Amino acid sequence: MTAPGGENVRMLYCRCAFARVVPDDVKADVLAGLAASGGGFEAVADLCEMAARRDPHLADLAALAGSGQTLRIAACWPRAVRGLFHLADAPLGEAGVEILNMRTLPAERVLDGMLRGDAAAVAASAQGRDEEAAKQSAAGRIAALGDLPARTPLEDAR
Amino acid sequence: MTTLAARQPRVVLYEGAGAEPLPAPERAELVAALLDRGYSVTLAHEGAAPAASGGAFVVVGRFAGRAPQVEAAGEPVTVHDATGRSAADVVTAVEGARGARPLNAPGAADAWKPWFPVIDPARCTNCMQCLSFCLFDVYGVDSEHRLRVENPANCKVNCPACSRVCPDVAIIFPKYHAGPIDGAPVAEADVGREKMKIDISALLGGDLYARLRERSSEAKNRFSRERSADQALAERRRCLTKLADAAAIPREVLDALPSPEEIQRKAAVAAERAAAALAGRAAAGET
Repeated sequence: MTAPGGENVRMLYCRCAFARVVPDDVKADVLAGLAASGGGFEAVADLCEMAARRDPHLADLAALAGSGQTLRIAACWPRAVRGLFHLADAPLGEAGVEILNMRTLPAERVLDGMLRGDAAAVAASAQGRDEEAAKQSAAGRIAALGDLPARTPLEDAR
Repeated sequence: MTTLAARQPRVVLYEGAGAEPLPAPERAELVAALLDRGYSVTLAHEGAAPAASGGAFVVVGRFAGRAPQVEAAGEPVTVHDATGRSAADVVTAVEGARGARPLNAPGAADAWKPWFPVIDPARCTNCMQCLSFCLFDVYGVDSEHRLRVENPANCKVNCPACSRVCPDVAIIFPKYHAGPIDGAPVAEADVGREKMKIDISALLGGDLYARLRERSSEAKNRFSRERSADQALAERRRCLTKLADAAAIPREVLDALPSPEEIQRKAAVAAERAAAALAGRAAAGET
């Protein structure tokens, strides 16, 4: 399965359907972005649930990552995702696996990682802080300040 | 005890040769609807014909009345033509095709919430403290005497207590609300902090639990009329509340603990298994 960027990439999306630890809007926007990307992907209702049953499909996916393909996973903390695959007897190698954290990253950054292989988004997923998103957020606040009316209502009232 | 089928039922949404792709918003809506019902979905864009493997039982696509041949090994696969159908219609058709295959559906009254410990293999030192601590047989050891989560479905929902007795911060509950228990990076402070010691004897307030239960059902029993016993009860209740708060053990879990004798027995069995595992590791020259 080939990702939009042309790389030999397999994408996996976790819906985390049994809990509310991933923001609903992030889950929805990431899924919408993947669906609009023109590429194929795997989607699972809940990676935890699947790991608990030791679903052999996880071993298939882990094997892909070990065979020269890249497996990109949109889920939660990388440490948890690796632990889940390990529990399912399908340990992920270090190479060929990129995990994007929907608990902490905005949807656009997750999609940067999933569709474009943005290394900074992958790194931010593991660290829990995203310098790029912080920069964008700060730039957004400055831009918003620029949108403020020149005269405030209080000044108008004087 | 919840028994889980080996595979989650999977739907293939095929948009390769012979199928008309869904518009992106409809594709997202359909995939979301299937996931929220508990299915896995493979969105396949490639291949001359849809392939169904790995638990897939139905292939969905807009085939315009020309249902394709499906490459499938093993179980029979249903092909559903979604031409002109809404996402809700397709989900209904998939439910019909599933037949008697088990499905753990999120939100269903009998759904099993996947709450269980996950071991961080990079941190776990196989000290077996969690195995000794857990009274619900969640943990076990593999053939090489390494710790493993043997019965995830035995775990008590929302109880992360074993993660707090782990000296290496190696136990993750992915659906917990805060780090590092949720899998967030482990800070030095998490490792250095004094480990919570939860003496199993603290949980042996089974007599207290029995009394609490009696008290709630028989408010006027003799015990409740004795002031000194009342004081003792209040004190122990405070202790247990502290324990519950400190270890984040849900009250329902404490209330559901077995009798003191059963706790003693289970604790002894768990300790024996942990000791055997440690001995096995030592004999194999592993630490």
